[in-house]
Amino acid sequence: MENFKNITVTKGNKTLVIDNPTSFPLIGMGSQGAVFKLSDEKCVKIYTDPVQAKMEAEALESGQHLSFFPILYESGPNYVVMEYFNAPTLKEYLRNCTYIPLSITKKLLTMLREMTEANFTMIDAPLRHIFVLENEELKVVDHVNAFKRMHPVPLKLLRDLKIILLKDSFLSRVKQLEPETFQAWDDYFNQNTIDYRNIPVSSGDSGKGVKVESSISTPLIGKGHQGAVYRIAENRCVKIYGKQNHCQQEKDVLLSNQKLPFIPKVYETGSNYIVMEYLLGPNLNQFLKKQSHLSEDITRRLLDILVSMKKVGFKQVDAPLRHIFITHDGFKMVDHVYSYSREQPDPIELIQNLHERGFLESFFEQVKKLEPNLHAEWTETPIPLLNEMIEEGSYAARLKAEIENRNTKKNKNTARARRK
Amino acid sequence: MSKVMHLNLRVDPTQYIPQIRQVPGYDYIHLVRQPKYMTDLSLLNEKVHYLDEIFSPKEFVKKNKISLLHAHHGQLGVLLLPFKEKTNLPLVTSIRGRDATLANQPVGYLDNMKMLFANGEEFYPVCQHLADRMISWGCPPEKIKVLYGGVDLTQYTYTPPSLKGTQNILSVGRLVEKKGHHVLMKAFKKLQSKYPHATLTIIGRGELHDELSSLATQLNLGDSFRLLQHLPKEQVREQMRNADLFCAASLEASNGDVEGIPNTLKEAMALGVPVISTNHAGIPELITHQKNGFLVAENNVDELALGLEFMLSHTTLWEAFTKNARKKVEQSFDAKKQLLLQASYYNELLGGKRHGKF
Repeated sequence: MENFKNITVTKGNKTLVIDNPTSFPLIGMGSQGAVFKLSDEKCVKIYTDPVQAKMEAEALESGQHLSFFPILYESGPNYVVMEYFNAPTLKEYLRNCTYIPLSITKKLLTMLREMTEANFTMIDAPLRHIFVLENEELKVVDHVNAFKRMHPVPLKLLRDLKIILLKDSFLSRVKQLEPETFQAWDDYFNQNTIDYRNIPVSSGDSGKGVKVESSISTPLIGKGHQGAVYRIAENRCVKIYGKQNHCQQEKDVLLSNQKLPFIPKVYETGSNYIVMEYLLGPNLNQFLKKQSHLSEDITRRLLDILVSMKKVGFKQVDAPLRHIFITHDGFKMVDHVYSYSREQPDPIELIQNLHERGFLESFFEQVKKLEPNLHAEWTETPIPLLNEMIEEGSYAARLKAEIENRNTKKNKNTARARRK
Repeated sequence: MSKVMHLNLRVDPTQYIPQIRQVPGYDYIHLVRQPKYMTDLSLLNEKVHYLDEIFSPKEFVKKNKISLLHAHHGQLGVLLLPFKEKTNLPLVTSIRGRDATLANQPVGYLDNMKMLFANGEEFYPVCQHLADRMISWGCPPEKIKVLYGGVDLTQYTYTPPSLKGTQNILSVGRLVEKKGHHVLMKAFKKLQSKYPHATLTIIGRGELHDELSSLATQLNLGDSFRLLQHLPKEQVREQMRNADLFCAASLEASNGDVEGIPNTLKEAMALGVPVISTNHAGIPELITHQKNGFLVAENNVDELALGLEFMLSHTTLWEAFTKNARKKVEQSFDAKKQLLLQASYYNELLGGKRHGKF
């Protein structure tokens, strides 16, 4: 008889490391643990941290009377055996829906009310943790933070509903069904908007993104290694940095290049924030995913950016597709923290990105025609491509190594040319 | 000039650009759901916006002085309901085919459409057939105004049939079940013994490409059959001009999906190409049997084969049919007139609220 206890789950560098000598299939993996299917009724979640296993077991136990809870069968030092649901998640169930159904809204409100009554502090669940059974009964998994995190309003649920364009219809229904709940949420949102002059973002550990306070209701547009960006008005956003020197570096670049057409407008700065223009439009990576060929117009615009970067003395000359936004006012580029400090004369990331989109060959053909000198420069020492499959973390490391390697080679070539 | 905020699926040349950007007397905001749906750089201007990026609907409407919302599909009308609620603007919705059916629809679709019928001001189905379907779903008839899609008659000019003795049959449309390409191919096969030199060309791309290619092999159609991938509009027009007979074998798909009135039929009729089609959805509103074309029952290989044979063996009727066809298109499907009609629907709805001149 197989024993799931032989499965080990440990924290690896970036993701979990799983050693599974059994035939129980892996059905899900998160940051805390991995889930394996044991039978049609049961699954086991194995945690890397026993504290979390205990928290989950306790939460599950205390919520066994709740209709939307999975049945808890057994728990141990690093695992919890619970009910398995062979059903779509709420996100899948609502696919292509353009107005949230009344029945689902009522069930979600009941679920949230029962969480409150059970004294949970986390009155929330992301769509991927909610399962919809055949009779449209909802079941919710992952309660590890039920008594830990403070979410008096369903921030994750609303954030997920916004992504699939159902937040507005959900709120409209809530307003009708439970005006007092709607009012309470609205009050919370009005009280918890960001005061960017008084900043709650802190720098994460090395290699990790910044930590962001999840109770902030101001829309978070994105977060990365150096900072988090929030939308604060129709045409404005604020980037808040974990480290002041990053803020200073980016400020220097943005403020001294406001005349360049691809640099976003800056409205206000502080020691660790910059208020800038909010860029409306798809990023170039998104856009190119839908194109069957690369138009010369796009290549021309990319070259304009790279050429003017060189002209004004940027040390890092690159234009990753995800950093370029197509606005009605032309291409705009974000993320300039290292423009003056990182030595990188060739657009390695752009080349890599275009390769991933399948447009590298046409790009080079067009560059040859439009900017023959640049073409010669880029092809003299060919820009190498990185393995597409490398996971994000080590991709950055490889990229850094590649940049250094290439700079050394270039210096050698220049020295050789001088000797000649 | 009043401004209408239009929501359509994509910023893309195939997606009702004239009905958004060229309505006489009305300025526009061209809205799509999210930035990823802006797929054509040449159509990007300062009037393109993204629904999920609107920070405050009230301020947006005020700043842009919007007086009307127009959703270009049923499901998009439903999506705009919360926006309408917040801004108190009138909402009109175009209904184009599948949105009046339950084909592949998401959970709660019918309830949502009923809510749209109750809360939306007006509905512009692209044919009477879809209007009837909406009424059967409970849409108040007084909210419905049929708005046929039009053809640019300056581009699609009439040339009488040349009667050169060839039998080149053309069909244009996405390779999906409701276009009935498979029925046409089988009917064409039946024709081959009598017309060994006849050819069939289908232009389009879609999910059934591989299936239709194997059907061609299975039917042993050989060189008499061509399946061309999607071509630029100008080239499709040339293919139409050179065809002897145009066929749209439209039918109700097994999932219930239906057509409105295929635009390609109107285009062929405008050009002076004889047409044959089926008694499906709104098509009989365009084609009157044996007057400006030929109609057969949908999803019926034998009837279609007989119809094709009739048309090919009665070339003397072609000139009269095509003249009548051109007249019909000029009367009810002229893009210019249809845009004026759309503007007059807006005028009637906005009544005293409308500012500016028309």
